[in-house]
Amino acid sequence: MSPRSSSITVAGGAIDILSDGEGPRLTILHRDTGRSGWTALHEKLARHFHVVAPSLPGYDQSERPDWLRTVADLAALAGLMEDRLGGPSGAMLGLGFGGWVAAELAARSPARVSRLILHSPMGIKPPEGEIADQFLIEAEDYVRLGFTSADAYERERAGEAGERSLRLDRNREMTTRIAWKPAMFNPGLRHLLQGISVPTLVVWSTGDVIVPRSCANAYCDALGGARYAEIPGGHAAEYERPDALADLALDFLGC
Amino acid sequence: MLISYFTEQPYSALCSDDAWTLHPFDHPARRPGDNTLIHSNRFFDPVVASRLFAERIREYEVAEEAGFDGIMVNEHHNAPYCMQSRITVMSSVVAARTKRVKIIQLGNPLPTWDNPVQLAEETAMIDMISGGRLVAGIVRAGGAEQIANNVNPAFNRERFHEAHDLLIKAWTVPGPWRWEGEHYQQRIVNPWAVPLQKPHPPVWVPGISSKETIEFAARHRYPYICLNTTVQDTKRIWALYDGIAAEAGFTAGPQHRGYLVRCVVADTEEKALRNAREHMWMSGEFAGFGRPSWIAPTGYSSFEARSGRAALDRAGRSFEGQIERGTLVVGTPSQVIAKLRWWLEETRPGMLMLWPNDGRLDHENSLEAIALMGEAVLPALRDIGRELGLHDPFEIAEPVSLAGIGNM
Repeated sequence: MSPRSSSITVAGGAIDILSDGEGPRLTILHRDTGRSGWTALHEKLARHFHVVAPSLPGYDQSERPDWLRTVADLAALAGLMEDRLGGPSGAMLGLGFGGWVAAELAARSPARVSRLILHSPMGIKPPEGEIADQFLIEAEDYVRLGFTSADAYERERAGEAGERSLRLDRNREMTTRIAWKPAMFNPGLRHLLQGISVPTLVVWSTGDVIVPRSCANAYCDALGGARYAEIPGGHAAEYERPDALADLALDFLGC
Repeated sequence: MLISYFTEQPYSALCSDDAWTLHPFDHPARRPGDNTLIHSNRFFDPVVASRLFAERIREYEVAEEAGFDGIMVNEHHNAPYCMQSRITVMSSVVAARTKRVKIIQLGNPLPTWDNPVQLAEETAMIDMISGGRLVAGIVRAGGAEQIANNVNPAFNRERFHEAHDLLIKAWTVPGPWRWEGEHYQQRIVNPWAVPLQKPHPPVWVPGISSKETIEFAARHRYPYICLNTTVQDTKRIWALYDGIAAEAGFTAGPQHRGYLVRCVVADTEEKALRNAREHMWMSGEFAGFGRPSWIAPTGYSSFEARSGRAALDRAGRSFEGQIERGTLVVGTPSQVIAKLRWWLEETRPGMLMLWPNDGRLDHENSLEAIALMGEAVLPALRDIGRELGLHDPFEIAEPVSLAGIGNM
């Protein structure tokens, strides 16, 4: 079974979308390395939900809004995209950087998000440790840093067709344009999150060397009653531990 | 022909072994061999650097006495190969310690400035203090400079263009006025310091490869200074420059062409070769300029241009290879004169920047090389320059820019 490819235009820019499955909508927002494909995580969740996996504006095949300067504005575009998809508001699963985008969206328009799942989210300045500085290492080395298993990394890399280095570079450029300084966080976000009551699950991978645990904990603190869980593996959980992450998500979403 | 003296002002006390070792205090991204950007400044000793600064500044005075027409200065950050972390500071020192030479900034790293009006003020002060001897070159600055200054590399070129426009306006249009740009916003621009030279100090643009920057220089009629490029690349650059110049309505000549060359002279060839090896300290065997993502971070230029630039940086790094390519000119005065004649005939620059001393070459050897150049090399180069008609912009009262014509 392969996902359906489509495109919708939001604020003048085309957003590339993969989708599959029936049921309530679950939008999955990708990491800063982009959406390299339809993973086992997507597939498993699509057995229960209508899974929508966009490439965020400026990432992969989606058009770059040259004016975009902040992740908050990127989240606003993601919110407009949700509106365009229609129907009742759906759940969102944000992976790493995508978790930051989902949190910004929920903080600004909580009515657009029914439930929030954040895996190793960036976006809050970690009280302890730091978010790894991807800009000091090569783009492919940054992808590799997300894996604790060399085999899983090689499988992910081998699974991608097309010009991977060009795609990674384009995605990194978009991240540079909107998250260079402060490096991968928004000082205001944790304050905004205190004002919302969207049911949230925060998951952190114990082998994650890109986002420290304190960052995930800071999300739980800001969000009050958020549920917290840990899984093994590195930052790239959708490749290393898709089942573990999917099981937690499905349980949280009542499946 | 204008002949200028240049040194990077390396921190020559750096121990190479430290750069090849990992240390407990290292940045998590550091790997053995990384000797810029994240190589710890624990290895920098200000007591030693204080002496090195004094020696380099004395060498500038001696270079003026020896007959050089200019002192070229530059700026780098987090870099053992260059102790000048603020070009305007060293330019001010040269302005105070010399009387005649041009102070040639190659160049002011525009995008790293968050307030280019301050740069307009500082350069105006230097121009006035030096009696109008400033050449205010401008650069985009390398990738590592963006990271070291935490300036977003994705907007490097946009910031370069906008900072340039703001700088020129701040120099030339009386204030107060307001600037609400894309990357710069200034509530009031009204610097109480404006340049002595009118309409403004000469602006030169140095570079190594970027097509867009060459085009920028040519469109503005700014001289372009090739930084130690190969003869083939230099000719390619001039062909591009000349073509754009023709489109812009002027005929480019030697007054628009500068060339920086490493040129090591000694009274014996053996000694010259020994001294020249010190150039490898920073440009090959030991010190590179960092990794591809530092040299040209994502967004700094196009993917294709950056891939090309990384390859360029790796090419022809061996000592012998550089001598063979002529990018490292080494020998006795007569040998060096012959090689430079070939360069001048092939590429016809009106401005020649000579870079004799680098690496761990000590003060005594540096002074000796400067004196020898003054006695035996500069007079011959001047004769060749006259013979080949290699005039610099000052000799023929070249306007400072296309916009500056009729405004002199």
